[in-house]
Amino acid sequence: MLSRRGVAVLATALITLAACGGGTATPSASPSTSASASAVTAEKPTRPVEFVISTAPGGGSDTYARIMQGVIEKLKLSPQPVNPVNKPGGSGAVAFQYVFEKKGDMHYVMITLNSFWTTLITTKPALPYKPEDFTPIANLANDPFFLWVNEKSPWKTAGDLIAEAKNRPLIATGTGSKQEDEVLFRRIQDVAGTKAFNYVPDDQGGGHVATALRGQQAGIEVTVNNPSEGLPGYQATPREIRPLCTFQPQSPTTGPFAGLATCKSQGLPIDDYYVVRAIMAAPGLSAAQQKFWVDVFKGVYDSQEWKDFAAKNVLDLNFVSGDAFKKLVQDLTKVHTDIAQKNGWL
Amino acid sequence: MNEFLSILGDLASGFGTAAQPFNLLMLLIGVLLGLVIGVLPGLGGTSGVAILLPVTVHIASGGPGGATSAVILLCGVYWGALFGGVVTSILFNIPGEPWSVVLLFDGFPLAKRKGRPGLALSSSFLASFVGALLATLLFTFFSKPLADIAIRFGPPELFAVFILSFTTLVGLGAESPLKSVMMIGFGLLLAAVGFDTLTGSPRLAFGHIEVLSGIGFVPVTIGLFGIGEILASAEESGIGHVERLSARVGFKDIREAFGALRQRLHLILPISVIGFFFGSLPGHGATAGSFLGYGLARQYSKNKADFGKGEISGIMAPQAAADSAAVGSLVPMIALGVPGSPTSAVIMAGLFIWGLNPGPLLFVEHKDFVWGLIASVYLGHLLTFLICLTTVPLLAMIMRTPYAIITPFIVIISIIGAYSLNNSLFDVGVTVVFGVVGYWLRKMKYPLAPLVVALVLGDSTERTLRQSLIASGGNPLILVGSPIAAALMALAALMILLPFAKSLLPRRRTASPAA
Amino acid sequence: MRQYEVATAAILMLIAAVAMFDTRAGALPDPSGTAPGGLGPGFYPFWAAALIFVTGGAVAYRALVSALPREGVFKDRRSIAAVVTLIVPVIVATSSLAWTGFYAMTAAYMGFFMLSVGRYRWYWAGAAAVLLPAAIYAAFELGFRVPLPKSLLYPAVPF
Repeated sequence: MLSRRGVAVLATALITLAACGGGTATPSASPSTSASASAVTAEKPTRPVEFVISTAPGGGSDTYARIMQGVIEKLKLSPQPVNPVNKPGGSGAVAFQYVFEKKGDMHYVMITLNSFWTTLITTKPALPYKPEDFTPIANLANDPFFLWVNEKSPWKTAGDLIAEAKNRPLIATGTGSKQEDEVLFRRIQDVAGTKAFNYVPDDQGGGHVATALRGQQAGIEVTVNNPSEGLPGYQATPREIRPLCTFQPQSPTTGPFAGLATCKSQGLPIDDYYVVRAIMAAPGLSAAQQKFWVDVFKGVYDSQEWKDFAAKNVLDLNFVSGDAFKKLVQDLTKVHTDIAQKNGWL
Repeated sequence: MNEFLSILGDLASGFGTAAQPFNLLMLLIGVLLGLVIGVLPGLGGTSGVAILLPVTVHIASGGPGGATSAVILLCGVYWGALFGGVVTSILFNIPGEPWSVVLLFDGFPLAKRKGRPGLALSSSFLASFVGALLATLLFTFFSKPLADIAIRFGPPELFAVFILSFTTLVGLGAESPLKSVMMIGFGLLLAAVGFDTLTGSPRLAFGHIEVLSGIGFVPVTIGLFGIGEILASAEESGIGHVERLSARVGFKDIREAFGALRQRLHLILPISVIGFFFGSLPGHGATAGSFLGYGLARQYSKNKADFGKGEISGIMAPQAAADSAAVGSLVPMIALGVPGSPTSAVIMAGLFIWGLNPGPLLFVEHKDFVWGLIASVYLGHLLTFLICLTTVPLLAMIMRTPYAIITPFIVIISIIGAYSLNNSLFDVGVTVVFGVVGYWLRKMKYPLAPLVVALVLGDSTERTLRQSLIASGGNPLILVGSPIAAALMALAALMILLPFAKSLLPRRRTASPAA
Repeated sequence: MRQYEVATAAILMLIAAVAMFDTRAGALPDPSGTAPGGLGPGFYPFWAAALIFVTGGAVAYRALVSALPREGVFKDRRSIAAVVTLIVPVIVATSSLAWTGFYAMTAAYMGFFMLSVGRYRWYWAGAAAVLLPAAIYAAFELGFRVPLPKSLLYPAVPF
């Protein structure tokens, strides 16, 4: 008797769980309408898709991926659900390995940032594949870098900072080791001929890096945060951090940082480095499969939600796909390999 | 005084917002989903909030309450998951959330060895509620000054905090000091495995890519405690034994938990304050807070010897600390625009998606949103607490499920729990291996608690130490370089020396009047 | 008891020795060298392992010189059998996870356990073996969209 009641208790509990869960999200099943007329007809996924994220929930590209997923669902861009799956670890290596192993399967796409290059190039022992081995889908935005200092700092321009950095090692912080922030600091070092920065790798994301600068934690003096990461400290009253210059070719013309000088104009000639918010898919997809994903993410790019989000976060909107994106992937490989070589990371 | 009154006025209007029928409905849905997510293995507050994020886009843009309803839904999930996460810790010895790991030390023993699952559950729910309530009051009145202090906690200060946490746990597993030290070493070593984020190079990975994610303490503790316990009890009582439970599982336990809380308020309230402050440190929070809460309660409890055997303080203190830390993690998000915990990082992502900029301007530009959110923290915890208390008898009944059903069930949820944290089969392997290891170590009388503590805290301790040294160019003086770091270090030194000093003094005061 | 005590300590010492060997390069603080801040990645694991090695040696030594009874680590033969019958299916189930997928494994394990240990009638075991994975599938795959490992037959079979 007892056993039977036990079964009933468990079964009821589980069915309740299942029912609660089932109510939260209804898979969108209507077919895609965004496929545009062109030579190749897009091949649609036939089962739920895994949208692989190389960071933990809440970190780095996770936010971007979840916004994209929200848009894909809202606009019903995919006939099958697109489920975000976090595969954190090894600065992205765990996620890259996972997607690499899904050769020829269009049900795996992943959001990438510069770690896609830095990790693939510098991880030891070497990973058995290159950035070019994955199927390139599209780049959705460039997230610029600014050079930030604490509001109390005496430096007004990049030139002031570099003059000081030639005298003594400045204390800098950024996300990860040998990742995009350190790459940029090592490039500054290389281009301007300063002493090596005491670079403190932070593993809690860019927002945390900006906070460390705001609180001058452990004496930190300079960061290269993205505008959205620095914004809360910039808008605080009284102001806590300020950007000296931007590593973009031109000054921003709109938004909270309109008119910010370029670093190039202040004697720091770097204007080709930014965080790439891009989409890659498993290696070896057919042209028809690739086209499906290019269409989906073009749909995301064209949505009002994405435009609003980009404006809020001061992103450079820049949709690149096809051969141009392939070229971009190769160019970035070159940039990162070069800086890795100069610092002996290979 | 004026400021105080204006805060009260804002709070009242916040309650007006939060109590709108649609917002209340969102809160209820959020709390219920959160409870389910918390109870389900491997899904915690962070993944729960992340899963619901896309849904909130519709609520924020189409619902009557806009972004306020959306954030209320997500916070409901957060609170629900906090309460729900303890259930599997207490009933099955499987941690549902990182911060409920410490509940394995006393929660499960009280539920199983002493046969009081109802008491264990209601104690933990009650402590959660009290901790959260106190934290929410602090949040309402002191969020800005607290955030300004929290922002100064960099690597040297955090290193001091971790050292302090270690010192409160001195003497854990004191029956065999040598084996305790050995287990601390083992925990520290396991924490080092994987990708070293400070140099970007693999450590002790022996060329395996899966190992780069490291040996997570959740899979390890699921193995050590969940699977290990199944094996140990099979050996002790044989396969197919029936659990003994107290004669009646019912509301009597809840009354007893209230009584237990009253006796321990002097312990729980300060620990909640500490937990709250811990949570407000950007990027750290509930997990370390729960361990510090446990350590402090153990050091300053008169029933020190009962810890690890089902002492109620060992359930209430970490749980109060964890829940108040969770509330605290909203402080930097609202006051500074930086996340206090992974879960609040996801909620903050939500703010971006709904078109708000988290940070100080929120208080000015979106007053309704902020105060609606704060009011919903009060309401959400009350709601969660009431739901949980009424389900205690039902949950406790699960312990009566026949052996041949509950045992495979526990194994299966252990597997899900290990897998879905990082979606990694390697972690499942870790759980099984540590199930066997845990069984054997327990058998050889190695204490497991020091291993877990070292594994949880070891990684952060090492990282903050090395970060400090990088910043100072190798000068160790940075570790006591700021007033905060120096004070915390002095406190840690005191914590170590105090027991020695006490034992040297002649025994004049044997009974302490406090306690 | 004694030989088990010594063997356990020896295994932990072996693990520690391997770890120490692997990280020996970074064992010493290196203020002038390449490691940023003077402490390399090897410093901390090396000394953690050294701690195990030293205390492990002490534990083994004490076990050898103290008057522990030689036997008695297991209660009796039946208790060894109990542990083995529990852990072997778990190991088989989890190591086959990559091929069978989570759901088929759950069904097989649940059914097997209820039949072999619980001695339930086949229809009870069968019902549980179907209902439990079905409920988990509904909650994880459909409700919360959290994918669990699938079998080699996927996508021909939906789990």
